Amino acid sequence: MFTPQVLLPRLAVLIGVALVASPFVATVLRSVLAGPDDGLAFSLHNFAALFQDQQFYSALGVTVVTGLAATLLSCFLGLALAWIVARTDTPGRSWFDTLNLVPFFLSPFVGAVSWAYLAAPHAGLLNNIVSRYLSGPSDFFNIFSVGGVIWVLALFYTPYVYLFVIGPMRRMDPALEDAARVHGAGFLLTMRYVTAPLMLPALLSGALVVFVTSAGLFDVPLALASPRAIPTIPATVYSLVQYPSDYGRAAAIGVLVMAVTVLFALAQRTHLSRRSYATVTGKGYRPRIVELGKWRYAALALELFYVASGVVLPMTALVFVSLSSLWTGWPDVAYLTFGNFDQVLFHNDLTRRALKNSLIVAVLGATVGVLLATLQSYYLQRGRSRLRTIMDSILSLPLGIPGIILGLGFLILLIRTPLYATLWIILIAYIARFLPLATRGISAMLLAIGGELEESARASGASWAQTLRMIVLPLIKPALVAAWLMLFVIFIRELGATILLYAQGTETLSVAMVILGEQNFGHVAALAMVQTFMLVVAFMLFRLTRSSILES
Amino acid sequence: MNANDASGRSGASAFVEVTALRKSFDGTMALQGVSFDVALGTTVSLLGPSGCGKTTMLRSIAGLETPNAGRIRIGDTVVFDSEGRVNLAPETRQVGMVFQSYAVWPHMTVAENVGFPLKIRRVAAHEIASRVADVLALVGLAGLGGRPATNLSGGQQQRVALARAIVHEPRLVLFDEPLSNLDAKLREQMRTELKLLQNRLGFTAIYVTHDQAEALALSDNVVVMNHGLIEGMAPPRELFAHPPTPFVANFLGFDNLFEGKLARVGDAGNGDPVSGARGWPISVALDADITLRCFWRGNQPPSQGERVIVAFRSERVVLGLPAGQNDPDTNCCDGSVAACVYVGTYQDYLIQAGSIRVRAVGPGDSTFGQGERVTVSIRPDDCRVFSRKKFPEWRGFGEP
Repeated sequence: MFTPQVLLPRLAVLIGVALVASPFVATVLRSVLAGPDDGLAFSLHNFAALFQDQQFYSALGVTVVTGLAATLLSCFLGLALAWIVARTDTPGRSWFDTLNLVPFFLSPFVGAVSWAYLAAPHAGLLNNIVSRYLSGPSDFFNIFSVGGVIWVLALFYTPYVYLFVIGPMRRMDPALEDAARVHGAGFLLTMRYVTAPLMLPALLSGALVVFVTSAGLFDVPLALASPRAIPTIPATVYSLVQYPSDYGRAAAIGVLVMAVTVLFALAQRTHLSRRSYATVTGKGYRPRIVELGKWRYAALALELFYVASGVVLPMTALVFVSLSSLWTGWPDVAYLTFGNFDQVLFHNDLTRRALKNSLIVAVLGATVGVLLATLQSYYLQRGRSRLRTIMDSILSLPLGIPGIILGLGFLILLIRTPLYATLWIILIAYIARFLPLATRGISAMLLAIGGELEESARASGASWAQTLRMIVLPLIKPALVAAWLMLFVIFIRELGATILLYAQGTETLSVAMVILGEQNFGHVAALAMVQTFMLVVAFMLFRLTRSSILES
Repeated sequence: MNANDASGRSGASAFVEVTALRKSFDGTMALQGVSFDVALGTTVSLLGPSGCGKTTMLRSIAGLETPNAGRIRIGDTVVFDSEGRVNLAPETRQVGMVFQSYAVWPHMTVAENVGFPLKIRRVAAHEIASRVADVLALVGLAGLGGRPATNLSGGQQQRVALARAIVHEPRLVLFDEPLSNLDAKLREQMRTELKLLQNRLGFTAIYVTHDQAEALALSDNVVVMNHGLIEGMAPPRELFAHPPTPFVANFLGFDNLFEGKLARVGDAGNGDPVSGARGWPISVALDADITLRCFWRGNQPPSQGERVIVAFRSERVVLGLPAGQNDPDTNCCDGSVAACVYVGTYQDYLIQAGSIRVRAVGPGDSTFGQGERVTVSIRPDDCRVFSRKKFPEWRGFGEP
């Protein structure tokens, strides 16, 4: 009964539940406490004050509008790009299959900063092109606006929708569409009655994830809305924790956001269990390729537009700025320098510390995360406990909680402990927030492998530990590597969960960029380049493991 | 292999006419010039191993594949003509189709699935409802219209697919291996039901299958395909008894195929080649000691000394105890049991006779043991002979 095979996975699940529940409980408790001077009295004062605050409603409005608009736009882009890649004869579509995913790995904060270099009024590269060559106004684009936030969010969340829909699109039995054609429906009617409804569950799941994550993202509003004092919910939480701080009201916002997350999670669970269409019959289908004719060029144009906006343009701007000693909104050889890189890599204490901290947190966090996720997956897929489905739901909850809200929870929980102002608190928050991603990937792999391979090892005389080492781990290795790289990427770039938890000495890369942002464009850009380089290397390794998964 | 011998032309009044159809996928020829006809109200089966081009043929008729060359006519409409640059979209060809995977739409109810062809044709809702109810009753799904389609068993989904393919009374129904996903027992049951439905509704149909029993049971004409070519076309009984090529013979259960030399043409005692009603009596030497007497059907037989292929079914081989039986009407030789496999109602035997190995079937209670001496008999009428010269590429003499 109390063998390691039962105890270890249970311990991992227990840790996972504690990582979800403790910030929840801390936030709820803090939100119903009266002010610090009044002792530990229960009070709904924080909520009452929040609901009378006009600023809160305008922040809520901006956050909901940007979230919804970004979701709509990324649904359109993700669906269109997935269809182009999976189902049409558009030239270069196998290249685009990789390129479409690049923004998924880049930092949204760096993306927003780069888009500020591109489209800041009067100073952005694109605005300068418009005014110099098209004799338009030099504030043609204004990225520091609600529209700008929506635009950058949509660019960075399009790959989420893309990933959600391209699988079902590829695996759908083409006979389902053929049957509609043969029985009288033309191309458009087939799309309307068969293809679109079959894609809908995947699209809705993707849309839900994009809405919850983009609305809760701190990075993009910080870079694009805060400079023009456009209020958003994540930025409001951030400023409530700054001096003069009001933890109670911040916690009240946290409780509301968490409640919304739980509601969404419940809605998704019931929705998905009701409508999951078995379009996959276990056979390998060759998707039917639609010949677009002249429309191929329109599809190609959309692809190029997306890759240019999501990758090429921001990266180009970043390269220009990082190589300039002075950025005037136009690349100028007179200002060409490698000094920014020299500074951030070899001289600036803050950036060198941030680099070290980020690497420590990312490597350690990804390793601990994969270990916990493997044990949790083992519990979820192989355990005999009747609590498995409930545990699965609880463990997935952090996926919908904005990093800054979870960070707030851990801040409230741990501010009076020795963990505060160490790297550990950041590490704990990261793992709490992103562990479910790793658990999902590894769980899926375990499910695919099935239990019989282990049972036959046990029947051949291997112990549980031997089975794990010689059968299970080698088989799920691709998923473990992919999960490790995924966590590494996220931990290298994460800002929302860090911003409330860092202290002097525990700054991370993204925090260093925020701190430097006020002082030196060149240093920020150089640091962003260094971070992007790490992410791109991880991305390339990730593609390699994915193709090796497909081969095996 | 010479397939142009056997083009499936049945007459000028054909309802479906496929002419010289060619199709290649990435350089592989799936169809290498296929022609056949389907008469109104009849069913033609396309039978062959996987990869023979039969499904490509069917999908080309449906409009789901575009052939490289050729012509397809359905009724008065030319739906595809590479020379006339005609290629009608699938939805305008007015056919019904049953898919191998059923292709029942998982997001619709049974009634919505079946009513789809009518809805697309803008039939009034109340008429759709009554016609769907009728056709569901016809396929044995009365009362299940409101169910989600995914809630059905494989056999029931198959019926939904069938109902959907006939609800709009199409002029042509296409079947793409509709029974191959069902288990053996259900498949036999559905085969009979399909036959009854066909008799009752009288639709014209093209039926693709790799199962000879389905093809023989359900069709008026069987087209056997191999490597994108037609190997033979005939009514089931004719094809089964007198396969036109070694491939067709082998595919339809002639599991003993041997190469030999034509030893004599005509009667043994009389030098004149006489063409009797059963064909030319000939003798074929399979090895130094074994000579088979059989009949050559058709025109002038090959000359003495030429190589031929002899084929016969294992069910037609009779095993006996070695006794001096010498029935003049049958071929006998001695052999020994190399292997015997008991499968209940019958037993499979492999007999070593001289240098050849003969497959034979004995009753379940036959008691020949491994190594036992037996007499092998096969009647001349049960042997088919093909000229080796005409089928130089035939390699299907699998060592048992």
